[in-house]
Amino acid sequence: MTGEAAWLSSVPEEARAYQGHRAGVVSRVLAAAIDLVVLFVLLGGAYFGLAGLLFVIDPVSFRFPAIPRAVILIAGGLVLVGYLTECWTTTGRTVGDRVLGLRVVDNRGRKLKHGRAALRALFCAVFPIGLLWTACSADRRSVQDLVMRTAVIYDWGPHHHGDAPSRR
Amino acid sequence: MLRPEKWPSKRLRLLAEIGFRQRRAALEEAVRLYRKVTPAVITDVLAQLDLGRIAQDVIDEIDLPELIRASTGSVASESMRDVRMQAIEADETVSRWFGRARRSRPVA
Repeated sequence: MTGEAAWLSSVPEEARAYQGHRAGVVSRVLAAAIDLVVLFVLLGGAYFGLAGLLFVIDPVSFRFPAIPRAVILIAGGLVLVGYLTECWTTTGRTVGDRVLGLRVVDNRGRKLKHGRAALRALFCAVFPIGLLWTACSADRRSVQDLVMRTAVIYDWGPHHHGDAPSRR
Repeated sequence: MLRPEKWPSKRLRLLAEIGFRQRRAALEEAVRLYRKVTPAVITDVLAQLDLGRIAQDVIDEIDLPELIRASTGSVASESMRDVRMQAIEADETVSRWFGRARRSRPVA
């Protein structure tokens, strides 16, 4: 690991050797599963917020709103793309990435710009199964990584140092 | 209280006062010397100490990384660290499996 003295690192000794290396499929699938839970929480919050608003407007004839499946899918997709884009462009990590100690960077190890992050988020939302290619790829790249020229690395520290990702 | 006829003689009281004044003067002199010598001694001691080495030893002893982890809260707690390490080990295992599979595939 680079960028700070090893003795001053906030990363535990056993994990230092992996910092900056591309993450494998298990870590990434677990992080994606946590992000899916976050998505459901966000959608649930929006739904109950809407229900509360309807209740305040007309409490007498209030019923929980029935949302068409297509609307749920579109809203879910939009929230997911927005959530992923915002996380990747600000800290480089979603909630799931934070839990698993991962960070999404470009091929040179830099934080993603808005355009690339939005396209990658859209790609992830439309073709999530592409994540599993990480297991088959010798370089641990998902289909999204290959197309968008990005990488997901182990990075347990609070700040990213911008080093180019390495295989291991 | 002693009656006046039993008080010590004038000469004895004079000696006591002289002794008192001399003790006070000796104390003042000692304090003056202490204030003069102490800074020089401390400066010399500090100059002879390898403070960098001592600081490094202390940091090594107190496990600074652990303190940083505990104080910042920005890095994983103990359980999160375990989850991450297990995920990394699982990643390595999967990579080894697929690596072996790739190598054993016949070349066309």
